[in-house]
Order: sequence, then C-alpha cells, then structure tokens
Amino acid sequence: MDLTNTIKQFIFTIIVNNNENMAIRNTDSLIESGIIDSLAIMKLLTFMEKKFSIQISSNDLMPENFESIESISKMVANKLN
Amino acid sequence: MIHFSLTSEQLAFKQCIIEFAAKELNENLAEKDDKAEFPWKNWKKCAGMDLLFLLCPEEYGGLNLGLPAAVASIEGLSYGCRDSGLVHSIVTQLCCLIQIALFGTDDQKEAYLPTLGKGEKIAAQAITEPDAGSDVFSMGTQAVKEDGHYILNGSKTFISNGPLADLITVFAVTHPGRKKFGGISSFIIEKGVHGFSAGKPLKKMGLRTLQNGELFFDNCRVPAETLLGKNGQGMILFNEVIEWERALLSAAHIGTMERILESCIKYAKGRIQFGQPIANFQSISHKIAEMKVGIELGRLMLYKAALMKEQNKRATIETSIAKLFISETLKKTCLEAVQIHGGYGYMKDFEIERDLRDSVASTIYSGSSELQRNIIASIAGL
Repeated sequence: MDLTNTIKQFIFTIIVNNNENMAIRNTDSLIESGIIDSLAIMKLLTFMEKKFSIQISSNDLMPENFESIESISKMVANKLN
Repeated sequence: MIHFSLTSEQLAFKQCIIEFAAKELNENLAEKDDKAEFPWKNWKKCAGMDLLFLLCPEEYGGLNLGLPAAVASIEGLSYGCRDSGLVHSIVTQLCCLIQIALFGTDDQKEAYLPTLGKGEKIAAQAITEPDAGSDVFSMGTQAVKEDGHYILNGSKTFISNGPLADLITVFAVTHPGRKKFGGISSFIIEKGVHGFSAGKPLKKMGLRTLQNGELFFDNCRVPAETLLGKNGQGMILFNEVIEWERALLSAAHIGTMERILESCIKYAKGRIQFGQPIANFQSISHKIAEMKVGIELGRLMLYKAALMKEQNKRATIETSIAKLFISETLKKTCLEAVQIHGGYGYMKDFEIERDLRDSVASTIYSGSSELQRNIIASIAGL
C-alpha cells in the first residue's frame, strides 16, 4: 500500500472508527471537518512515527501540514526523502 | 528497552537540593498554610539555588539539565521541602519557561528566559476556563487580529500563579471555525497591559500557598509579536508542554511520597501498642509495603518518560501513565499515612493532614485521572 493510502486507511479505521458516513477524499480539510482534534493528532503522530520510522518535530507540527491527507502524505514523503 | 541512570554529578545536585530544601524551606508551614500566603522569601531562595533555571538553555543563563535531571531535582526538592504549594509554583514557572524556550522567537527568549530563570518575574499558563476544563479546547477566549495587533476577550480560571503573575502564556481561539486543531494560538501577555486583570487568589482545600485565580481579558490589545509559536499552533504547543508538566508534577509527587514513607516507617517503629511497635503488625507493614511498591513503580515509569523526552521522542502515553499512576498513588499514600498515624495523623501538628489535603488536587490538575485514562485507551488503540 502506498504512503497516502496507508495514512488514509489509518484515519478512516482508527480516527473516524470506520464511519461509513465519513467519506474522506485526499484533499478534504481534516481540520475544518473536525476530524483532527487533540487526541486524534496524538494518535496520528504516534502511528506515523512508528510506521514510517520518522521523527516529527515541533517545527513540523503546523496546521497546514495536517490540513488534508494529501498534505500529511507530502510532509511524511519529505521526511522519508 | 530503555536504560537510564543518573550521573554522579546529577545525584550530587539532587542531594544538594534535598539538603537546601530541608534546611531553608520548612519554616512556619502551618501558619503559611493557614494564611494561604505565597512564600516570597522561599521563592527567592529557590531562585538563588538556580532551581528556576533547571531547564533554561545555557545561552540565557540556564542550567539546561534535560528532563531526567530536572525530574530528579524536583523529586529532591519535594522530598526536602514540605510546602507542596511552593513546589507546584516552581513547576508552573518551569513549564512556562520551557514553552518559551521551545516555541519562542529569539526576541522572546532574550526578553523572558533570564528574568524567569532568576525568579524576578513569575509566570502562569492560562488555559482552563469556567466552561472548558477537561474539554480544554472548547475554550471561549478569542483573539482577533486587527491592524498588527490581537484583541483578546474572555476569562480563565484556576490559574496557578495567576494572581501574582508578571507574564502569562494565554491560549485563545484565533480561528473559530477550526477550534479543535489549527484554531487556537498562544500569546505572552504581560501584567499591566490595558484590558488585562487578575482576580484575587481563590480559597482552596490544599496547596494553599500556591496562588490560583481568575484572569480577565476585556478588549486586551497586544502587538502581534506577543504570539508564541505560529498562529494556530496552540494545541500542538499545549500537547508538547503538558508532557513536560506531567513529568515534573509527578516528580514532585514521588519526592513527597518518599518523605511520607520515611515518616510512616519512623512512626510505626516508635509507636507502641499492645506491648510492641505497631510496625510488627502486618496491617501496618503491608500498608508501608504498598507505599514502597507505588513509589518504585511510579519512579520507573516517570524516568522512562523523562528519558524519552530528552531523546526528542513523543511520550504522550508514557507521561499520561506516569501522571495517572503517581497521582492516584500519592492520594492513596497520604490517606494510608493518616491511618497509620491514627488520631495524631488527623491533627494539624503532624503535618500528614496537610499532605493529604495537598494531594487531593493531584488527580484533577494537569488532566484528571479520567482524562488520562481516555488518552491512554485512545493511543493504545481504542
């Protein structure tokens, strides 16, 4: 599974608990929709750091990096490169 | 596997703090507790020992100890100093300082870190509101940007050091539509700014020398340069600093429990009932064994979390586990200590009753035990 889909699947299964009514496209705003809250961000960070063996620092923790699945994937891809 | 041990220098520093605190910080505690007075003299003594500089970068005059050594230092302070309100006040100062050290601009660091480290200014962190406690990000305080300034309106409550604070890191909503993430920002507000006022200290059950109160922002207009971190970074900033806070407060609780344990052992050995020391009765010795188990297990988890922070690793679940376990153990330890001391434990002269009163809030502040369980369950995979 590619990076974007791995993140998307985690958000769908763990953060929105497989809620079929929450169809999330890669460019949808996770912030405006309220999907990313304080607990969700910690779960997501813990998952990404483990899954991709990366370290996400305070400087990376900017709202724009977590705006959508696309922007999250881009940040992770930059770290992997 | 995580391995940790303190260096001989760190252990010597901890011992030095214990001796200082035991000698200098315990005068007239019952009177200060009764009057709910902030111990200014002792605050200055602690500053003189560089205790407020523990986590400050060296270029601003600090000791830059790192979290494990800072945790050991606070543990030592709380073991030697029987004024838990003062220790809490010092931890609050350290947390505000670390916020600025981690997220501040060079100008902000230059302006605030040296004075906070020297204790010349007292800092507070303003998050909790009358209608936003555990659900902290439902806060109502707003900061609206206008002509290179932010205008703050709202109020905060229960703020530690609030009534005395010279500067406050204030969390406010900057993007109402994005309240949960990206919508909250943090600001450094100084006392004396037009539109800001602090209420009188609130009367409390315990931690009475610590001053807690309400803060009010009424069209409080501050320059955009007071923004701490980036616009919308408030939740991230909070999540980071709360890990430091949970570790440092837990360190204080471990120090307190160690002191109480020793007091219980001494009393149990000296108190004669039915012709023998009460320590001979398993009903007493088992209570003391449980205290020891709690301290040792709590300390292991705490130092694991502190070491992870020093290695720049995320320690959300580790600090939550430490905070939950240690604060619950503290309350239980204090209650059992009163029981071991019997009628004397209930009297003010023995000070155990003050420790018990001081312990009650530990499972409420810095995230209640219920909230810690939510965090742990959530990150564990629920």
